[in-house]
Amino acid sequence: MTDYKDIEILKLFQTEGQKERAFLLLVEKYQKRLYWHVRKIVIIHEDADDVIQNVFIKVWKNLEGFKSNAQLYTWLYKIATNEALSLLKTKKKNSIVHYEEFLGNSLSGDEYFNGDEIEIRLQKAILSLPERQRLVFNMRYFEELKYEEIAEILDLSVGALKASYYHARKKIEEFFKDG
Amino acid sequence: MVNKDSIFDKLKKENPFRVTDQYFDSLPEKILESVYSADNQEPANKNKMLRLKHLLAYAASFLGLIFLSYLGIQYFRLKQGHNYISKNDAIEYVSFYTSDFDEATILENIPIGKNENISANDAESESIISYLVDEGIDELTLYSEL
Repeated sequence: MTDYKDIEILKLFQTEGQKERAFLLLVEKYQKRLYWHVRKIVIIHEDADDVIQNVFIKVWKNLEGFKSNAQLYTWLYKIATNEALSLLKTKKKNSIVHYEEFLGNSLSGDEYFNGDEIEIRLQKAILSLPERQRLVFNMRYFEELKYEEIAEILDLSVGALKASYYHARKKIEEFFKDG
Repeated sequence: MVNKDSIFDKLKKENPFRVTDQYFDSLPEKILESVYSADNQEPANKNKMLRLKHLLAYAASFLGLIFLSYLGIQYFRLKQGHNYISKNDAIEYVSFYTSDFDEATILENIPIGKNENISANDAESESIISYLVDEGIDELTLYSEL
């Protein structure tokens, strides 16, 4: 499949009769990146699946008004992050137990989790972090996004992000030392 | 400064999460279905909101009309100089402040209608009857005198 540039997809989306094709190209181009980003936030596959569908429904509704001078993928990441955090908030509100702890404990029995014992511990350590540090750590460590890109997605300064990442790493190391 | 004992040196930087093999192959179609079903649901919700808006507008207009009518009635009553103090209120007021009014003022302000005339006549008849009874004048004597 030809990898279309964002600008080409946007132009195609605005062409009469090509909206659906452009949208499918966009989904195919970004679905994996966005899914894994969301999955690391919500942990459970079924939740990530719901979130990713809502993300693309929003994209479909708002893509026409998207300003092409902004980066398309940062806009998509923004929507995905907000949707994932919103779902997490609802889940936490409805949970009678500490939700992050529940998520960490559910990993060992999760058929969609391949990690060994040390990876389960790493996920538990990440889940114990404050929300912002957790987001920054995942985006920097696993997704290897640049600080500038993360800054644009989370509307934060690069300096604040670097501090968050540093603290997140320190806390994870502490978590392993204590455990 | 690099920490040589860091746990991050021992960790594999791999994604431990997974999905079924066909998940991403079928996801675009699934998303497209969700998009269309969300598009179909939206007009229904919009219609409901629109209907609700119309109903609220009708209710507001109706209430507005009632309010305007009430204001109109109040305005005309004021213009015609109607007395808004009820009869009972007036009696209560006068009874409470009896000392403020002399007898002549009260009598002057008592509205005299047909009923009041009848009452006055009744009182006069009663005093005549009691005079006749006191004086022991019977009916026959009365007729003979006439």
